[in-house]
Amino acid sequence: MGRSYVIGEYSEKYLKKLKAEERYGTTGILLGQVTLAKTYIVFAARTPLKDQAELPPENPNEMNASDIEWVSEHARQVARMLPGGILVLGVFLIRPSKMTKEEAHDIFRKLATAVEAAVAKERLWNFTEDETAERIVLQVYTDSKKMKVQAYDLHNPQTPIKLLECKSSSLTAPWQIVEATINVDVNIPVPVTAERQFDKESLKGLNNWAKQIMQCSYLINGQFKEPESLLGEGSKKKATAEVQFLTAPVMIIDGEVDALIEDCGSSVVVKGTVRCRAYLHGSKSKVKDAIQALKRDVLNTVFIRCQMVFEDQVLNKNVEGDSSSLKAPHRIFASVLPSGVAFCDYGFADEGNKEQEERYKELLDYELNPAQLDRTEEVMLEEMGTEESDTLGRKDDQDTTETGFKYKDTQELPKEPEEEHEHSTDEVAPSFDIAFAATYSDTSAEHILEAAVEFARGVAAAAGVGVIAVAVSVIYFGNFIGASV
Amino acid sequence: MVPLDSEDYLIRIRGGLSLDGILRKTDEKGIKDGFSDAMKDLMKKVNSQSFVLFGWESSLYIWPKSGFNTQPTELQANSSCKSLVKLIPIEVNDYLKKISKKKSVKVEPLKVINLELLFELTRPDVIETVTVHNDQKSRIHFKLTLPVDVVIFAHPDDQWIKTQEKIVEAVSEQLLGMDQCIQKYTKGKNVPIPQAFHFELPESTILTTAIYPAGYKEKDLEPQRKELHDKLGLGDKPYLRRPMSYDFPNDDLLNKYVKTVHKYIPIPSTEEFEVYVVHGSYTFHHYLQDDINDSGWGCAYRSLQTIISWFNCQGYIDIPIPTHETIQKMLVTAGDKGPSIVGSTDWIGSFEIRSILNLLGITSKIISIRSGSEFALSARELVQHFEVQGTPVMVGGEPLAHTLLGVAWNEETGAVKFLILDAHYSGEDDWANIVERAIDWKDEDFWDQMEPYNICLPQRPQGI
Repeated sequence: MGRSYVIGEYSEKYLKKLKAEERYGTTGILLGQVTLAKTYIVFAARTPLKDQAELPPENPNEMNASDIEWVSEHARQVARMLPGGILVLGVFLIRPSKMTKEEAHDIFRKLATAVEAAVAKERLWNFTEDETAERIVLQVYTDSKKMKVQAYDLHNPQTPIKLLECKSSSLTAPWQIVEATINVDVNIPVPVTAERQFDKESLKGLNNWAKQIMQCSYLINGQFKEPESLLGEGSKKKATAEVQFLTAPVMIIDGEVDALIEDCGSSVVVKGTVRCRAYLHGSKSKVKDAIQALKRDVLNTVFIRCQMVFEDQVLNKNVEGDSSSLKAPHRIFASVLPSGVAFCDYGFADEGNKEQEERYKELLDYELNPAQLDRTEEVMLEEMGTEESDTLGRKDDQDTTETGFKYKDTQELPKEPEEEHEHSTDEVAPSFDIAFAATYSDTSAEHILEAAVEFARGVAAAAGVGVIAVAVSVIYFGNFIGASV
Repeated sequence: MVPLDSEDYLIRIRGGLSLDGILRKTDEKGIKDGFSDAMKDLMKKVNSQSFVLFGWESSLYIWPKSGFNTQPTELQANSSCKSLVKLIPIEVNDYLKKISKKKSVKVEPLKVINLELLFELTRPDVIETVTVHNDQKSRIHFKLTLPVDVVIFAHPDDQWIKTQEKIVEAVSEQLLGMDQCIQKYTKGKNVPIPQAFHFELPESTILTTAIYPAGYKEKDLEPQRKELHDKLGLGDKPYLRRPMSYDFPNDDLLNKYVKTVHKYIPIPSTEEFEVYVVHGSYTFHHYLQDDINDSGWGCAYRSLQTIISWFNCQGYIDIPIPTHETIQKMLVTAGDKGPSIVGSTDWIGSFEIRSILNLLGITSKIISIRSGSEFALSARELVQHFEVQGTPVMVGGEPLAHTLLGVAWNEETGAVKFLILDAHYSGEDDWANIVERAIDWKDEDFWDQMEPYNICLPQRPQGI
């Protein structure tokens, strides 16, 4: 049974628009999700023109090595903007009408391979054996409504190329979301023999940490769930699932007698808190797929931030003296698709929205409304950040719940009333952390209110806190929703 | 000793906790300080909200600090420890239940609850921006996985919340102990891994844990054992040698042979007798064991196997239990017998036993008894043997050999009873059958009144 391809509303409209604008020869990248049987294309973005504003060669046969590299570089940069579960699937092409039957297979395969190789550089993880290595070139025909997909098996170049139809589907139904807030603390010793003591090569030391993350155990919404079970099982609505990660049991090796003591020339320590997210299509996704996607997102976001630090350092050459601490940028999500799927970008709090808007326009060909930006990670760091303040003092204020750590988006929420913080010495009072974005419509707000009440009840029951606290919070949220619109 | 009829649960908490750090100093003190600091951080983590206990083969995760768990309807704040066993499969040796109640002491198989230590990565104590920190002066990276193994006892009616606290305290205590081990035994850049061992002590109903550095020989740890013996008032019989560590139910179930069976039968009345039995543990060896048909000729070999097992269990030697053929070969090596013995069904006696033990570095005394009727006259010597040496004894007669594990003596009346482990037992290696048929306190008339006996008394090596 072969893989089938589904193209979503946004991508279809976008490609038709390019066709209508007669942008023949335009190439771009395709983004989406690969599941067991189907691949879903959710987004498409043309590759920006080179500096001299050259038009792409009308006939892809004429693409040279530097053109291919250009597309790959676009793909690599876009790969940094993807949440868990979303991959670069390949390349699209608006076929020029005079393109011959001879399908430029060679170039296409080179493109698909180069793009995959470029995005792989951004990863600390590898695909498993049972994951498909099929990537595509989607051709948009001018003379018909057809969109044909050429699928290449990148691991086995000998496999014949498959030519498939692309099914249309709106793909606007909300996707399932899994999230986690996780701390990183990795010591990377740099060998004395290393050429340079503080550069990208040092990041290889993250590989052990990456392995640990991929093996760690998990809980979903505070419960253990079998890997083969459905993510959506047991919950009525498709609320965001909060994931907790627990260290994998460490194998104690028989016969090991001494600690590892190794010399190094310097060290790189990566430390901090990141917010991670993965999207899963439909309602039939399995827990193990969701967890794998989220874990990979953990690896991605940490790796990318570190790379950015090094890239920045090379530009600004600001490493001097014996030691230095360089801050990595924060992650900012932006919900771009009606299904809720968000992309992300990295920046600093003081940079403002302009940079984000420019990047989305350039790399994703998307007009971003600053209201879509979801700076929850930054807000979490601001509110809960313990860099300068006293750690002990902060502990009481931390919004810890059963289901791991969650943060608040207080851009919209007014200061909390005192009644909520009923801390006894033995229990941690539950708190209700739901990320609010200003663009949520009333119906969504209701969703969230319901989820909040359900969650609050559950937490209240577990913590032995009475119903009064729940009532207070319902009133509180009720007031707020009334006020926001 | 842990009572055989205890109602308590034994909660065992294990996990590999990682110590990982970077140091600027490279000298021994720098390294020791580095480990000490890392240990302090680890202890903080253990006492923080990110510390998690997980029930083996269950879906139960517990956060001791905040009181959350993944099955809050079944395990609540005021639940007793009984609730735990409904959620976590227990480790228990149910075969002990089959031992006949008529013959044995009261036995309630020990229930062990196994928990694993984890940390939650998604419950950060410190929330901060990701920073990439570079230190050009780092010179050493150290990494050590601590094999934490903590044991506490809890009564089923104990409040779970209090027990939870005890667990966290016990884990912290073990980390302190492990740090002390590192500080004591680190030499230069060699940092041994601290390992925890649990022991039964005579005056205690719970287990006592000692932490030893890996990679050291038993004799090199004698100074540390001496310190512990002094601290715990333990005298000069060994209790804390690593091979003597406690066998948990699964250890018993996985062991090919049955261990220390005499503890399941009652001793003669202490109002009438002074009772002296073998010290420590041994495994029971008998006819037809290991698919070797030695019925009728192999009893002395089996007795020797039991004796050798004692020296293994107490950690004085470490060899596989020798087969009949190996024993015969050893006799040839010792010059005691000609090569024709190898592969034969020849009997051996106390003198041969002594030779073989000699080859293993163990000395023995031999008492010769002219006839079985005079056995009681050697009571005082046997009492002294068990009191001081505490090793199993081989009684060799024509044609039978027996393993003697203890004596009960009434000095006034001169009456003696003998704890006999029957090497002629040819049944299965299970507790019920062995207790029923292979171990007993016998009267003086057990011995053949006319026959002479040679008794081999292996000597326990010096030191603890």
